[in-house]
Amino acid sequence: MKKDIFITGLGMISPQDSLKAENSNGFVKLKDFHCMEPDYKEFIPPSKARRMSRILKFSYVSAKIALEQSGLEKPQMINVATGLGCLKDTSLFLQDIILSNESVLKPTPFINSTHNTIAGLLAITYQTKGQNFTFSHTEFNFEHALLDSMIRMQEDNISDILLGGVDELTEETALIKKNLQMQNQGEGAAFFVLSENQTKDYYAQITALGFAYELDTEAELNQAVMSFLKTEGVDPEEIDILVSDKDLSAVFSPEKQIIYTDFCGDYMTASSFGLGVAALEVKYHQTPVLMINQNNKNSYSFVLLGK
Amino acid sequence: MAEQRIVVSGMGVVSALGNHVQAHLDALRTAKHGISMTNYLETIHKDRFPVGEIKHSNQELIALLNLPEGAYSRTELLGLFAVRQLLDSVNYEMDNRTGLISATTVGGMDQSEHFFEDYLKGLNLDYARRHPLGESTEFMASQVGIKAFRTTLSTACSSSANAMILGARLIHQGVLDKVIVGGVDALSKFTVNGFNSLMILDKEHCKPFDNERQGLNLGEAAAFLLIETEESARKAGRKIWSELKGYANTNDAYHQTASSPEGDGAFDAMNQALQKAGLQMSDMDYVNAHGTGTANNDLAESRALQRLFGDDKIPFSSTKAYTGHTLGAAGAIEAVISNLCINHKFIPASLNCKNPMEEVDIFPETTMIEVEKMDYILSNSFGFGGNNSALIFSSVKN
Repeated sequence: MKKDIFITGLGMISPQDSLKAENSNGFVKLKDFHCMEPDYKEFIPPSKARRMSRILKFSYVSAKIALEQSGLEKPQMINVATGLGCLKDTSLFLQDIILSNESVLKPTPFINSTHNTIAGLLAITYQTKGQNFTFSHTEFNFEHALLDSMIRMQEDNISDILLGGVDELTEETALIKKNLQMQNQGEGAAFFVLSENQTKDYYAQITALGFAYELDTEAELNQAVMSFLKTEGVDPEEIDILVSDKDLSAVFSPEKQIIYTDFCGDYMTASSFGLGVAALEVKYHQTPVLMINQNNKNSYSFVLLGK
Repeated sequence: MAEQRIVVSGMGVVSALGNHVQAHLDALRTAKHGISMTNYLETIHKDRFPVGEIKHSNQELIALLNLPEGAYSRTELLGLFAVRQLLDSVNYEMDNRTGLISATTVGGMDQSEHFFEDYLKGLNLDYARRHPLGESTEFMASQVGIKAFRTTLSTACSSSANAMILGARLIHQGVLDKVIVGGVDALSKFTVNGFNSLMILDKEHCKPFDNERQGLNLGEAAAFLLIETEESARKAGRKIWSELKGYANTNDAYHQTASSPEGDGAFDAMNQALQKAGLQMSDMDYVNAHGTGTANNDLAESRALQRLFGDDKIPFSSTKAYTGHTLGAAGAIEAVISNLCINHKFIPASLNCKNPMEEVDIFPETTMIEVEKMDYILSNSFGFGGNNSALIFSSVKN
């Protein structure tokens, strides 16, 4: 018996005014992709905020909004994806090592540099004692966190999951952007509550997730998309909206195509923002949405959402 | 329908104990450790903190791997070394249903820190490509021809135990048929200074579970295991080392770096892994503890173990004094060690442990013991962020 998986909460800090957005109609194409940050005082007690880096604040607030919307106090498990993790603290600690010639070192940046600091903070905040994974791959890391979340809900007795993707822009990312193959670097945090139970204001259902590797031509990609939809028993005609990281109109062209990276820029967990946009579209238009992401090479992920 | 049994059908490992699986078996059976002062790591602490260092320079590793000259992180080199060794040992033919799940805590940090001053000046940016953790995984995958599923987990010192858990799950769900799971971390100035800033590095050889323990010794390693269904391994005629019978990951939800005083997260991880395996702690023939040698870990872990042992005396030991604490590779290298113990029926000694801890009534095995029966082993891996994982391996007749 397959469980339904609903997105019942969504919190996004992004270059757009997205934290409590009800749809993506107000999202605009940008050239600079730094986040619109909220007044953190509204969300984080000052005693906690002092010890939080920017990426932790992104994550904390996005997760808080997602949980509030879903009405859930305590998720059963937490999966976080981050491409570069807590880069700012990593850099601070490296600078400390060099400037002090390895002698006077404060441990805080080291502690906060660990990739799973984000998921660890959320576990402490919500007293979530279940699984706590951090995916940190260059491509598809958010989709892998989503895949694992979907499996846990199907395989085990898990009914609610806090899932998020987050990366931040720093001086370091700006410096190495050519090497990261990302010209329009962006940043953001998108957190979701996945639940087996629908709520009154839920966003969307996640129906399916698939991956296709080594597709070299548009024809191959089209075939892979068609075969993914067929496996899920969906007629391509039913899909009115495509959300993708790149322009795929030559491959698949429903009525509406949203290239979400125009709104958030490129970063290793940008697809979490993409999923947020897709969820908003489903909720607003009450229609199925297909999301397609390409990695830097020739592999793709597909996510199908419905009401 | 009963779940398919997931088995370990191949292993590759490189650590301070040596370059192959046999070297690890020999070292563990003769209680020979790999801890020394560093030869290769440039740090002002090189004469101060002993480490578990792999006895090859990067240049030697490049030559051993037959790679063209180029910019490689030590993490990439060690990871590829272990993955290749694993694949060669089972004559593996790569296919597109095989995935790679690697785990690491600092990835290509050895390169990042070396060129950090240059980055800040905008120089030598090619090395920066190696900073993202996923890059070492992508490198290994491309070198051995894995074109489909590969990913990277980073949950501090439990990372590679979690790679095994995720791998098992993906096989159960039919996402993949076979998965190479494991982890890799190289010694770096970053981690030496990080653990030193926390004041948990022992200036001498570490003493896990000793009342007078002073901290941990860092190590470096890469360890990868092939996991697949029993049916798939038998069909391919591969030696089956063990069944991955149970697993669990939990969170202590207490503190970013410290374990809760009673080791609640550790208790939950072991308990849930036992439940998943349908076994009791009293069924375990040996527990390979996380046992880092820090005051905090060993106390919390001992309390959790004592609660689960009850009145039974279950043999346990830490192997960190052999390899050092290899961070992201620790879960996988201890999985390799557990598999050696199951197949060669022995319990490795906890080195340097003389004085029982005051707070608990349990004491590790301090000499190597050959045993008649070694059917079930529980292996612990705990990390920062309150992350706790436990794996259970059981013997399988070949």
